[in-house]
Amino acid sequence: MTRVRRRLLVVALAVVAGTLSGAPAAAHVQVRPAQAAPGDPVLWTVLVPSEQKTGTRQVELAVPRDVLPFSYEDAPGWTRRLRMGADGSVRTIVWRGRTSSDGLATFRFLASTPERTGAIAWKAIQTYRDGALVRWIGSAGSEHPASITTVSTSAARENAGGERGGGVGRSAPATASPPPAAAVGGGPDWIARGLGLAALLAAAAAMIAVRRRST
Amino acid sequence: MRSHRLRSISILAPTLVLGVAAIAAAHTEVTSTTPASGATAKTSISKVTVTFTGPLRRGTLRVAGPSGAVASVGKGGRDPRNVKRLAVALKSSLQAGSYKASWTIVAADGHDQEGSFRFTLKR
Repeated sequence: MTRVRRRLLVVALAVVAGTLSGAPAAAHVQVRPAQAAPGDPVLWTVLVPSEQKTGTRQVELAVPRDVLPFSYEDAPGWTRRLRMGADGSVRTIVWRGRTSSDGLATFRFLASTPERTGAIAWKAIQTYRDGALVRWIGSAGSEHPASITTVSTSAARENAGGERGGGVGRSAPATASPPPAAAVGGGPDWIARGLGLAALLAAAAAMIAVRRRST
Repeated sequence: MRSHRLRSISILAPTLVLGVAAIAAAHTEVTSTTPASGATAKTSISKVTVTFTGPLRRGTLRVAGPSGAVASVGKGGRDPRNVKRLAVALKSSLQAGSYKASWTIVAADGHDQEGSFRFTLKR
């Protein structure tokens, strides 16, 4: 390699490096959705891009006050630990695993939103494989902002718990009638119990009949 | 032939029982109450609680005394010290006899449920 070529290479690398470092820290840890209805079971997705030289090895997410997680998707290659508060509620969720340097980790879980409307902040700490920490706990517009979800009655209800209860009536601000499910609360349990009992009786009858025939 | 069919029913039916039990298990359930269901406690107790398997969004807990009179204060609610527990304060100077506690909850998963249990208070 000639000296000129070497110089050109250095200049080219410097330009590339400058472009890279000049790029803002765009790939933030995000928690979606950005809008949710109050008191609603919602499917949350945590997006964790790796934007540095190394990948991510740990993500610690603080659960906002009065958000109630109740089910978590097992992310392949990642372990999950829950840290509980004194009242038995989930305070933080810690995922440990490994992404490549340009890898994206996603975590999903179901959690109920607070009954009160307003903004909730998802504070997260991202640990890179080289040990570097990024605290995504700042205000909107800061370099490392916490992801924000606005809890509002104008947001559509997800009812991600799969229950019919309370789903329809409460999403409309001007509700005409209360959710019908409230009146029949506990209904499916009785149907289930009745079916179970009937099946049990059928089984017993069949077993007795079988025994009689074989003797 | 007929016994063969009966045999297959005797296998299928318990499977159905197990399946239905699995559906019911997905719901939040009561793990304990104070006083315990059917138990006897002192008339001096000051509150009633119901603890569930999962976190609660909200709920109510009311207690009725021997003559059906309201024995609890207010409509109760989630215990601020335990996200899986309902609690309600009881009135003072309760009379001895049979009590009934009735609860309603909306679990974190959105499922609403209700139930009740009885206990006895004596001096």
